[in-house]
Amino acid sequence: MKGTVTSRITWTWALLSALTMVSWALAATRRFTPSTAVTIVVLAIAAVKTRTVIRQFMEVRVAPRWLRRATDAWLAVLMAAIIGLYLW
Amino acid sequence: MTAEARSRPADAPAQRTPALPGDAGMWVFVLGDMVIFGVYFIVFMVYRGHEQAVFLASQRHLSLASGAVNTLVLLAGSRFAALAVAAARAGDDRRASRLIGWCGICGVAFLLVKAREWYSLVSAGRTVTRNNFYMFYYAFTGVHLFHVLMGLVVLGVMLAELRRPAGRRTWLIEAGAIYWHMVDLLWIILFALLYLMR
Repeated sequence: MKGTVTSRITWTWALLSALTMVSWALAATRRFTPSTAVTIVVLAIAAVKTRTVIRQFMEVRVAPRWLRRATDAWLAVLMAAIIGLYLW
Repeated sequence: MTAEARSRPADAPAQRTPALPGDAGMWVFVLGDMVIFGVYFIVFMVYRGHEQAVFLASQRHLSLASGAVNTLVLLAGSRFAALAVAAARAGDDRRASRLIGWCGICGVAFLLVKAREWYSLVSAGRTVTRNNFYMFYYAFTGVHLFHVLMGLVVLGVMLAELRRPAGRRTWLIEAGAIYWHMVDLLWIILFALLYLMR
């Protein structure tokens, strides 16, 4: 049981670190010019990372429904606003 | 439904884990902070929309590597904090203390990388008054840095709690870790907005 918990934490961390490297490499390809494609992908990666921290590390996946809903609503509204303002 | 799950007898082991990780007070603080930062991020995007060229040109002078390394450092800290909670729940306080120590080292590393980045920017004349991008950059990273400093204090409180001979409260260790994860997730979005988007 304990082994499962610690390996889940470590896998989560490995995924988050790998996603960080991907967005780092992606942003490095376009240092001087605007790019909608790069921006949308790095924002999507940030959203996935944020939700992973909330669900896995903060253990919201096993939290009461109001907390799962509140954190998802926060992320959805924030990301929609950021992407909407970027594209507008 | 929550109250029902809480009052259920401990026949099923899964039901024994607390319904709310940490404690309600910490969640009120964390959710409040997330909303406040969310508003900051949206205001930043409004300004960025008006001055896209200035923001993009200024962003080039940030160290992408520093931002990325600091993200990795905070993620490593979060892993240690999560493992510390697991160790505390399993009753292994020595391991939990050691892991919190590693988390603290990550926090200090973050501060050093950030200080180095600020120093090189200020040395190059890129100060808070230069333009709106730098105003947001220093304000956001400054407020976030204050959160990291508070995080180090929280880690100290967690260590002290683990050394309490009687009646150590596992929920307090969980609440401290939740704070640390919040500092991590706010940085993930800051990293995307300040360093990554084009």
